[in-house]
This record gives sequence, C-alpha cells and structure tokens, in this order.
Amino acid sequence: MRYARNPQVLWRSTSRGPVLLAPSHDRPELLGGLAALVWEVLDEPLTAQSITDHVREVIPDAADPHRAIEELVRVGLLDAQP
Amino acid sequence: MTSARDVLRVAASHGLGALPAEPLTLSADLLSAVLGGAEAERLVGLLDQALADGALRSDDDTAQAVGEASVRAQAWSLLVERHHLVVHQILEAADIEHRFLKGPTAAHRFYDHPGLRPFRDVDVLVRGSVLDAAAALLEAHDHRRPSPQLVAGFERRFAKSVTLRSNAGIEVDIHRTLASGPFGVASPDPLWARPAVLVNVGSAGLPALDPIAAFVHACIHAVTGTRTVTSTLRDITGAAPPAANVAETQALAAALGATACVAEACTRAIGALDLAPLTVHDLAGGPIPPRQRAWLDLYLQRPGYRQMAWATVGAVPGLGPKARYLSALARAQRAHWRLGRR
Repeated sequence: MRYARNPQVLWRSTSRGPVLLAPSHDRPELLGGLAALVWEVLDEPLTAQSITDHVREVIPDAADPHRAIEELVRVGLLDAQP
Repeated sequence: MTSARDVLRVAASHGLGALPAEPLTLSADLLSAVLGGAEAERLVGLLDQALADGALRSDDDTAQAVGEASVRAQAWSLLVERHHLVVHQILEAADIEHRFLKGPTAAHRFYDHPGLRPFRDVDVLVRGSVLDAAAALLEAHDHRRPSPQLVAGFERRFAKSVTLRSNAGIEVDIHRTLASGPFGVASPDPLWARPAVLVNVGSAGLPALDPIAAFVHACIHAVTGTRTVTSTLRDITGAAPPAANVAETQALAAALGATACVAEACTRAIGALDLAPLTVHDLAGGPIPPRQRAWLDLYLQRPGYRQMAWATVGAVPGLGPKARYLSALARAQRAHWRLGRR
C-alpha cells in the first residue's frame, strides 16, 4: 500500500506546520505533531515504511507514524493506493 | 540600528540570493511594525520562511508570532484559492473564456512554494464583450455587487473591472483590461491572442496568462495600482523572462501600450529588492515613449477621478471614440449624482 496526499486538499507550508483545506471542510486546519511531518514528507506517494524512514531522518526518535497515517486516511486527507 | 523597513527588505528579498552572512535580528519591539508591514505588503509568508531559514534572527516567541500570522494569512489564501476553483467552474460551464491574474497562478508558478505568496481576492480577466454576462452569472451564483452599474454598457466598454463579493465575503474582480486610466485604454486583444497556460491548483488546472504576459501584467499592476505592493515587485522577479524572451516581452508591452510600466516597475523592483534577475535590469533601462512618461508621472501623483478621466480622454485615439467616452462618462456622472440624491 502506498499513501499520497489527496490532490483535492489545498494546502500551504508554514513554520508552524502545514495548513490544509479539505474539500468537505469550511475552514482550513493546521496540522500538528506527527501528522504534520507525515504530510510534509509525502511529496510523492510512499509506503508506510518509507514514510517512517523519512520521518525518522528528520526526528530520529519519532514515534511510529502508522496511527497518524491511518488517521489522515480516515479523515480523507491522504489516499491509500494499492 | 535595525528598523522594521530593514527587516521587511530582507523578507522581500529572501530566496533571491544566498543567505546573509550576518542575519538581522527581528526584535520583539519591532514585531508589531514588521507584522503590520508584512501583512500590508503580502510578505508574511516570506518573513516566516526567512526566519525558518536563518536569514533573520529572533527569539522563539517572536518567531512563533510570525508563524501564527503566516497561518492566518495562508488560511485566508486557501479559502480564496478554493473560490478561484468555484469561479472557474461557473465561467467554464458558461463557455466564457477567462484567464486568472496573480493569486494562485502567481503563487504556484513563480515561488518556491505557494505559501510564500499570500493573496486576498480573485482577479479574473474576460473579454469586454462578455463582461456583463460574466458579472450576471456570478450574481446568479450567490455573489452581489457592492455598487450597481450606473449606465448600461459602460463597464464592458470603459471600466477596468467589475467588483463582486461572494456570500463568504471573498472579493471577485472581473477585469476587462489590466489598468485604469490611460494605461488601460489600449486594447487587451494582444493578451487574448496568446494561449492560456493551465496552472495546477488542487486537482484542477486554472487558465492563466502565460509567463510573459503575467510578467507584463505584474509590471502594469505595480505602476498603476493605488500603491505599489512589494509582493508585486517580487512577482516581477519571479516571472522575469529569460534573456531569449526579452524582445517578445518588450513587444507585448508595446502592443499593450505599457512600455513605460515595464521599465518603471523593473526600476522599482531593483530598488526594493536586494537582487533582481539580469533581464529585469535590462528591461528597466528600456526607452520610454514621452507620452507614456507623462502618464507615469500622473499615476505617481495619485490623481483624483476627474484628473484621471481627463488623462484617459487624451489617451483614447480618434475624435469619435473620445466623444463617446466623454459622453459615457457624463452619463455615468449624472447617474452617480442621481443615486447620491436618493
């Protein structure tokens, strides 16, 4: 399984984290924590393992990002591609 | 001693060259002035990035305040960006040819990432012949006009643009030309003779001016707007043509009657930013027709309505068109007075 940003989500980078506007949402939201890092490393579709590797390049002792990935998929911000 | 202006100049120039060896410090006592200036000049994204990259120094609280200001600016830009997609769908469904100006079509093309170029409204160019239809279409889709058209047909023949507002308060300016006053008199047909470029925004492609036309538009906007916003000068450096396209850029500017705008805007960009591409320097040195020099001087004076109208009459070619313009102005003025007396 590979994960990619939902192309319909409009977003911007800031020093506080990515600001996202999902298609079904009225207001933009600021992503924080591990979810922000997962979003930022997804410049191209990646497997969960590759995401984990990229995240740990940035923060070596980062927690396992699997739950953050699943949550981003659940709320429609990420697409899961077989 | 570092001033707010010094800090804003570093922000405006960030990314154009190497990082400064000795970064300036954005101190807490400058924060309010710098944030105010950055918001007015649409530089909040560049300021935030300059701090993150070490081009400026600050304490953590100050950096956090700038970051939060950037989040607010980006949040509004995203809502406006989504509204571009709405306007595009409405116009496209009605087969109204259009080109988006500035906004996301500059942010996504001419910057390292679009967060560096916040924007506040929607600007879209249509042909004069469909200006009324485009405005009526948006009105039918939950937009309202803050001020009515005073004389039927005036806007599609003479106005720079029509302003509408969405229910959510987002301003949409439907442009017929790129400038008000004498620099807006030349026909915009040379722009329509050039193919649109699609700029990817989300999962859609927004039709935009090609890079050369976008550069000329940024120059016109910088010179003829109510004031020169620094982000527009930064747009000029981002959209600056390669050397091979300088002649084509000058030809388009001449066809639009805006040779002076390009030379003047490039001069202002060089003055406002620490570094500008070589072609911006080349274009800044171009010759300016004497008549356009006089118009430039007029815009610099920030003239009132009457003075600008008279200058525009002078720019309209031919006695017949001058008479029609004057007559339309007079009818609009009478309608304005009638409205004021009610």
